[in-house]
Amino acid sequence: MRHRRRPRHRAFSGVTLVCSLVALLAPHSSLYAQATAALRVQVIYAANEPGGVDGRLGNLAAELQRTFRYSKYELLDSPQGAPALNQSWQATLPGDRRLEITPTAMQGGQYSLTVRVLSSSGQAVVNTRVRLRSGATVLVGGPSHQKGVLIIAITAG
Amino acid sequence: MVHWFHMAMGRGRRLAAYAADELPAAEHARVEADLHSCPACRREVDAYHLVSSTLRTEPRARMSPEQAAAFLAGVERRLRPGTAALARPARPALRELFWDHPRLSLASAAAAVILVLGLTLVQMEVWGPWSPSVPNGVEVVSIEAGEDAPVMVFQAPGSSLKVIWVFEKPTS
Repeated sequence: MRHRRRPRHRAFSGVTLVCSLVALLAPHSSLYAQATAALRVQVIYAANEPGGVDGRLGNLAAELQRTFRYSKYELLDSPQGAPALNQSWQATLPGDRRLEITPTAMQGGQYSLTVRVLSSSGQAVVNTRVRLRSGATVLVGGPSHQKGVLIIAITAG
Repeated sequence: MVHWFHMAMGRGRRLAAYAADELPAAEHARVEADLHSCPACRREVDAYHLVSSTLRTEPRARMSPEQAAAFLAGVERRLRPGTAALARPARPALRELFWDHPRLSLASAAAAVILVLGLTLVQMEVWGPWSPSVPNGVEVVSIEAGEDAPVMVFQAPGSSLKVIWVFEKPTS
């Protein structure tokens, strides 16, 4: 019995068809689910007063001591969030201030973030755009608090 | 010009019939008279003669009875209304162009695979159009501060931390 051989090139057309369907349907599947940026924030009170270094700061304490000359580092709060792309995430800061972080791009394990520290009146004390590699930390410091300053450590990923 | 007019008036078919010697005698004589005033018509008749004589001199195709039976059955099948052969359009459909053309099929398949791979890698953040080198994992792209709050970016020697420092007036 003779069998007709199916031309090989027709398989390519099948591949095209399948890939086109995947490209059309995949954006709606879980594979392309909305990406979020995992954010970890540590709000630290730094001052030249007795108190020493808060043990909860972990590895960050040594870095802080290498960078600044304060005698006291106290972890006040450590909020965490996972905002989606272009969605703002806010955390409250002492002194009726707010921290607002918006991920604007997430690619290849790098995060572009817009970070704003807002005063009680809603004005931006600082408005910065930073690019962080996953696991890297940037410090935003200077806002006064009690007898010292606030240092905000922001880690992405 | 005369020949063009003759052809427009349907003289072509009469010329073919004349060349095949299929016209009634009266008509045959009329066409022959016309040929004297139309050299182009005469050339056309010569061409008809040449074609028909060539066909007559070519050896005839021979088929065995089985082949002839199969041939006739195939012709009948194709003539039967509603068959796939009749349903097929005269021009190649888009499906035939892409489905049956090896190079187009291969190229479109490769393009589709690359497209899907690229989309997947971008979405999975494995690959992106920009991939800057970020020293110490932190890059400060831009910075703005309030009017009474100067700002500076620094990194202490020996530290991996980049600091954005706002010189805010102390609150009482």
